[in-house]
Amino acid sequence: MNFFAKHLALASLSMLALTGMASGATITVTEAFSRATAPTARVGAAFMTLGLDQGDDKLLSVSSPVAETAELHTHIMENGVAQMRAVDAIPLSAGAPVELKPGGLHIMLIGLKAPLKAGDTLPLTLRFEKAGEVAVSVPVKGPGARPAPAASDQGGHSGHQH
Amino acid sequence: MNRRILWTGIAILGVIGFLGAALLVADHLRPFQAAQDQAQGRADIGGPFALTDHTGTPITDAALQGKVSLLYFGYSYCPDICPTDLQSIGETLDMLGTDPPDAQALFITVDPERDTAEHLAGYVGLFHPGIRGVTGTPEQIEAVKKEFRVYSKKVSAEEAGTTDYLVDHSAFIYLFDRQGHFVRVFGHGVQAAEMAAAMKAVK
Repeated sequence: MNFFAKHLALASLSMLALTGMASGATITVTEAFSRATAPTARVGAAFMTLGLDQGDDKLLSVSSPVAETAELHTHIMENGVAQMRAVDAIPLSAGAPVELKPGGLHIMLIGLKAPLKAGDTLPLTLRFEKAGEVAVSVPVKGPGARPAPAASDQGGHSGHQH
Repeated sequence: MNRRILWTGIAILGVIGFLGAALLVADHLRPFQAAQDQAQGRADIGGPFALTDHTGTPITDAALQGKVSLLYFGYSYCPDICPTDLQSIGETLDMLGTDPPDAQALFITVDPERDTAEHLAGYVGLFHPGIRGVTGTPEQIEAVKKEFRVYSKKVSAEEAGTTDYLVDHSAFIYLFDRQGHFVRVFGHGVQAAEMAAAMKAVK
């Protein structure tokens, strides 16, 4: 199972591997998903795992044609109280994938032009400090979709050890 | 003379020390007492409320009578915590099916400004047709929060660094019995199976 999960992750990883021209480093986006929203919802969220093969970089901002704006947010749980706050950037370093997942870091889409429906694809442009712009297509899943178990079980597919 | 001052000083320090220790002990006992109250179902959580459900129908605390209820306080503008818990609540209702036949779930908003009945109608149904969305006037919501000891606080866009205001809120799922009495609380991230088992066990 672990073997299979790992190779599955690597397969999707290679499909989504995107090279930042400026830095020569490769940003990887895996396990990306979004959640279906209510017909009158103004906001949505996108989650994913960001990886980098060398050096360091920073996710600075995100944009999408389906929303007026997008922000980088995190959720802090303190004594059972959920506190959502904006973050300026999400730092990345080689070999230490960063998970954007429910209950933690996420991309918040604000001013949705249309509700997100399960089965749709959400186009996002991620802007990194060094790698520049990286376009990703994020599948929209159920309204309360959770990250694939493989993603959290692996605890990050560190390095690219084959 | 000097000795008297010394002894008075020692006595005062002694009293301060004793009071400090007593306060510390009391502080440590408080959460324990609350946990004990919860364990014995005596915690003073819940009370009368008068609100409106997502269909525009009035709903009061009488809705808890004769039902095994899950209550969750949150807001639909929350993209990650609330959907995760509502998903678990929906899965719990699915797991229960008709056993018990009188299980229900209420999602009570802590953001009545944005969560109108109409908006909640499109929201709660995404997770499960059996979840009833509940809203009210800001005053009504403040009152129900107090009864259920729910903490929530509006955080301005400026303070949160965002486009629009956010709401900090306690993320607990409450279980109530058929008499409308508080049974227990589940923390954020609880599994549906745990809630389903607890609901089945309610007398």
